[in-house]
Amino acid sequence: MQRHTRRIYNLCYRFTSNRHEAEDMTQEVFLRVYRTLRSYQAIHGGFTTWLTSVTRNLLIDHYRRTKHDRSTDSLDDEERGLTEQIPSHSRTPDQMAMAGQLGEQVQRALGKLSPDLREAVILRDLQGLEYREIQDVLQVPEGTVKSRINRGRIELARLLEQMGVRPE
Amino acid sequence: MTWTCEQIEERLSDYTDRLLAPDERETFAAHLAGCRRCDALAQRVISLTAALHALEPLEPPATLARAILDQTTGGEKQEAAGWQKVLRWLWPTPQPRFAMGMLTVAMFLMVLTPTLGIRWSEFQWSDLKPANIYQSLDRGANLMYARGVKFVNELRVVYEIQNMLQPATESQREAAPDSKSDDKKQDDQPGNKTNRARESQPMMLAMLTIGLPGRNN
Repeated sequence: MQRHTRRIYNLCYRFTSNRHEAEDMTQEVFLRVYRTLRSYQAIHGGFTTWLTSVTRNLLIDHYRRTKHDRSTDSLDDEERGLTEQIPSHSRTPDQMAMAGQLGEQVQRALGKLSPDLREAVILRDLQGLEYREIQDVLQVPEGTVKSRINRGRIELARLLEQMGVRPE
Repeated sequence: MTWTCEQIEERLSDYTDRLLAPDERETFAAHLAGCRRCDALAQRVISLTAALHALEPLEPPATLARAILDQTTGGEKQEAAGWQKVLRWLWPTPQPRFAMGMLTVAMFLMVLTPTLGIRWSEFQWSDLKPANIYQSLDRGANLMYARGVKFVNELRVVYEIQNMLQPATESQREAAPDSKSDDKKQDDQPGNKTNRARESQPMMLAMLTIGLPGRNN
C-alpha cells in the first residue's frame, strides 16, 4: 500500500507540479481503483501497469478539465519556494541541497513539456517502466512510445540548458 | 553506412538505453565522433537521463495513506444501497437505550393523549386524514380554552365570595368575647354588616349553582 501510494503520488506530482493536486489525485486514483477492482484482469498486464493506466487516465482528464485555469509554463507561487523532499540517508547537506535544487529545476522544465512528452518521460525515466509497459499504459504503438520518450528527453535537455542547468 | 544528424537525433534514446544493434551502435558512435553538435546533444541527454534515474522519489504526506484508507474502506458504507440503507438506518433500534427512550415516549403519549381528548378505544383510520386531524386538534384546542376560561371564572367567583364572607367572620370574631349579650340587639338592627353577609349567603350559593350572569359555561 505504502509503496503504491508513493509511486502514484510521485507520478501525480511530476505531472501536475502541485503537491495539493497530487494528493487529491492520488486519493482519487485509489478510490477509482477500489471501485473498479473487479474489472482488473491480470491478462492485461501487471497490477502496477493497470494502476499506472488508471492514474494516467485521471491525470489526462484532470489536465483537460483544468486546461483553461492555468498556463503550462509556470508553477504555482506556492511551489516556487518548495524544495524537493528527498530522503537522504547517505548524503551530505551539500549533495542534498544540490539534488533538491536539481529536482526542482527538472520539475519546472517538465511542466513546460507537452502532456504527451511529459508523461512518456515521467513513465520511463522517473517511474522506471519498460517500453512495453508504457505502451500498455498509453495505448499507443511501440514506435510512438519510443518517439515520445526520445523527443521528450531532447526537449527537456534543451529546456534545462536554457535555464542554465547542467546535470552531472 | 553513415547516419544524418536527424537520424542520430531520432535514435538518441535507443543509444542511451542501449537498444541499438552492435553495428548500429558503431555507426552512431562514429557520427558523434565527427559531429560536435550531435555529440553535445547526446552528452546532455545521457546526463539528463542519468540524473532523472538518480532522482529519488518524494515522500508523500504521512496523512495521505490514512486518508486513502478512510475513503476506500470507509467509503464502502457510503456505497451501500437498497435494503442495506434501511438496515443501517434501523441499526440503533435493538439497543437498550433506544428501547428505553421509546418506552418513555409511549408512556408520555399515554398520559398526554387523554388530556387532549384522544380516546384510543374510539380510534378509526379515517381519523388520520389531515382534515380530520386538523378538526380534532382545533376542537381540542377550543375545549382546552373553554375549560381554562371556566376554571378562571370559577376561581374569580370563589375569590369574590371569600371576600364577601371574610369581613363578616372577622367582625364576628371581634364581637364574640364581649358582646354576647348584645347579639340580639345587633341582630335586630337592619343594615348591620353581619346581617348583610348572612343575607347574601343564599344568594351566592344560588349564583354558584346556576352560574353568574355573563359567565361563559
